[in-house]
Amino acid sequence: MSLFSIDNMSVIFGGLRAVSNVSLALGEGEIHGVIGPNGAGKTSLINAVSGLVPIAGGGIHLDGKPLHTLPPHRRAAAGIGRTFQHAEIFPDQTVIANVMTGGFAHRQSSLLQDFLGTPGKAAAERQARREAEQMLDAFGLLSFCDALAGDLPFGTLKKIDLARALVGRPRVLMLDEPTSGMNDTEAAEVIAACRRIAGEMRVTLLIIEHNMRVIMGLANIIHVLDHGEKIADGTPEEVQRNPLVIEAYLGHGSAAHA
Amino acid sequence: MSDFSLMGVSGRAVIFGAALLLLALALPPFFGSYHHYLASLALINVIMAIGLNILTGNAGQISLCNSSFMAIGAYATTYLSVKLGLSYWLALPAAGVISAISGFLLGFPALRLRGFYLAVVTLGFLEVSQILIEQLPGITGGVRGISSPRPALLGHTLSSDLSFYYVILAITLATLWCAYSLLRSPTGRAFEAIRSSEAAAQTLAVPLAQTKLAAFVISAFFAGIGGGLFASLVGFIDPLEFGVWTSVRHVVFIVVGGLGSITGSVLGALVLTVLPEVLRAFKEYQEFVFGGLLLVVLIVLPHGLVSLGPKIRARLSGGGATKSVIAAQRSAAE
Amino acid sequence: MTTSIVLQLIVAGLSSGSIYALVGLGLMLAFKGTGIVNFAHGELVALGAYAALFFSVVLKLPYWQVFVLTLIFCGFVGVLLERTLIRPLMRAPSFTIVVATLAIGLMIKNVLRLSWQESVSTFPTPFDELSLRVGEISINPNYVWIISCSFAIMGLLALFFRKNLTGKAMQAVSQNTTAARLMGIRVSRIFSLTFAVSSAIAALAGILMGPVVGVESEMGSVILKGFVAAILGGFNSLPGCVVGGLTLGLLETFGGAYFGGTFKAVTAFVLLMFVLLVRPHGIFGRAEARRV
Repeated sequence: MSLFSIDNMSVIFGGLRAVSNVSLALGEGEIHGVIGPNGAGKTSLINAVSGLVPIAGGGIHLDGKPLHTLPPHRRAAAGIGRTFQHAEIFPDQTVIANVMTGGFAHRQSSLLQDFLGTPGKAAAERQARREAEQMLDAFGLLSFCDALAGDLPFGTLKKIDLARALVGRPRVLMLDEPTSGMNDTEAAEVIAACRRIAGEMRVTLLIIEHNMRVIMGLANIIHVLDHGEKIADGTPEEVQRNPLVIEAYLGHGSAAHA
Repeated sequence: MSDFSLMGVSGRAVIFGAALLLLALALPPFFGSYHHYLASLALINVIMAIGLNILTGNAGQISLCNSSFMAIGAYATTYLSVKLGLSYWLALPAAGVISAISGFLLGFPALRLRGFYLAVVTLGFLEVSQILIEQLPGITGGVRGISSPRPALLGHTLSSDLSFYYVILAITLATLWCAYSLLRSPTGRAFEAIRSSEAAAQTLAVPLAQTKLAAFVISAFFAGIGGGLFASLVGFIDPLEFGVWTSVRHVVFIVVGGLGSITGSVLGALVLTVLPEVLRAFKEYQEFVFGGLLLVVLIVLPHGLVSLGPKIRARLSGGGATKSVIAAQRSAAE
Repeated sequence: MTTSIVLQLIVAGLSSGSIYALVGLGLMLAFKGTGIVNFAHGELVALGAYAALFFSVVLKLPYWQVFVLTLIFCGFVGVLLERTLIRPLMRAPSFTIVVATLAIGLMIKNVLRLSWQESVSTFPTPFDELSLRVGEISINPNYVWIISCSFAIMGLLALFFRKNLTGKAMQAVSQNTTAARLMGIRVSRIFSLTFAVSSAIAALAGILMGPVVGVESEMGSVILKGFVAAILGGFNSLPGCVVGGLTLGLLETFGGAYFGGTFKAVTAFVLLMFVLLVRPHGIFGRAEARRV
């Protein structure tokens, strides 16, 4: 039994099947990629896993337990983390506050303690700040600690988004185009980070990517979506040779990024 | 010397705050009863502004009925202490709790609403509260109002404005403490998260409903406390005190001061309570001026008075710290 | 309850309901045309009432001239407001729009309050002296006038938006500004026209309301009832808004008669909450993406 599975899931938007009977199984510490032409349903897939859009059929399981009955924040608390294509950081907050928000799932102070400002809360806050600083340091962003997130460039925001999601100690982390908008140096940093996250932290990664070079080099298994359906899966080599995959990309006139 | 930090607040700010506190404690005996009264009023407005700013500025929930919670606090305090004979020092927090419960009740329908719809519902709540005040004269004295005497502390009635001022100051300080603590906590970050991006918030395990409700409850609690203090300070309350104009005034406090900023709440409330008193001759035009001021601030200084400091500093230093940090980073990567 | 009283309640309910529907329509129109929910709309109703008061009592003009002049005047004020204050708000977040329009309303209310010092006033209509009877029952002719005038205007609006080119242009602008521009529609003009019509409708509500409830500075609070009507119409559907307004008017009137003043006063809020929780897109509205 795998750690995390998406079972025969479908998502419907206004009559259109954005995702159609898609199944994936992920084990601990594995890196899976999701690729496909534009509009294939990749973001809808992880939006549905997050709980941001309703699932029209099928389900999700973590450790054999169903997640699809839970509201989004409970799924996150259970260990499903994600990043966003457009980073979705909080622009009016400092970088450190953004990242500290990621720790909400395992916060050590109650609402009352937060309100009253007890010593217990102060200690918890110091600890939370230390954790966030460590995470920022790992991404080389410590100097941006107190900068306003809204002032920073897009590539940096994507890294902050990732740091924020990691502070939540997810068991499964879904990344929506983590290297988009980045230069080669930043992309290489993110790739290295992904390897460490999966290898050392044993977090399972599900990565949506358009950059073929990135995902082929990073993922253990690749799933290919087209028009909401899964048309192929397998190792990067298998997928690259798969005629259905080639057809899907060439047929849509969008060349695979080399 | 100012390199320390207390609860995340910079050393400089703490020293500044301590200096202000010293002034607030030491100066009043040198002034007259009118000034004590005005200062008390200003502090009560600070409490109101802090509460509203948490709900609207931090948690992003627009509310036009802050005066309703103030009213609930005012009338509850009066009823509990005058009609039921409870000690004021029990009645006041109890009134805060009653107000908080009302905030909870309003919060529920508000969960699914945003923007305009939320504004309309809070406006409706305001209207209903006005009506209930008038229609329950047994509790509220109806349209004619009800008198609310000063409480007694340790046997002495706090009839002097100076003594009551110190009590209100103490409660305001407690409010500031709680607000600062709240904003530098997971709960405070949850508020900001739901304001900035509900989607991201949820994927970070922030429960939308509970967080919004918490914001409504806390905001209403503060408003209730402020209302209870207001009732005893003024000595007499009637429905006119708690209408749309009062709610709008509170909104002006936080917009002019700075949304989401505690300093902004304090600044906006203090300045906009004292200024109208100074310009008492133009009392007729007060509402008009407030309206105009609100518009001007929204256009010219949307982040409020608190943003003036950083803006001036940025102008003077020619570009600001952020850009230089980025420049440093870029050159390090080269 | 005798037939006489029931009939009078119906007429009174339909009359106040028509006012609510008009106010709601004005709100809806401004929103559809400019994306702005105008929290000053109630004060525009008051402006209409005060203007009519001025034309009628100070300038001593006959009712029909008062009527037309007020509509034109308020339409003008609408254009002025739109050009100066509303236009820059169109891209602002909803909080700013709410607070800014509230501020504008506050200023308008105070201008009215300060220029007309008497607390409550009224102005005459040609229907005051009429006596209307249905069998044995006497009906307030002003109510009948309010109902018929409102329906006439609402009918005109319905036709306008279906048949007329400018009406179609307004619809196009409200649905897709860029496409409208590409089609050669003068978007700027449409914004102003929309707001002018919205203000004129508000003024009409004020003209009709004034003689019946009196002209006073708090009249603007009728905006809440207008919101209820508009929300019942999903902020989208003219017939929905009309039905919503009439329903509210009738519920209030009958509720007040049977259950007393408190009931009457909270009806609007209860209805509002009911709709928002049960059927947020209104009776006839479609669940569509809203600029909320």
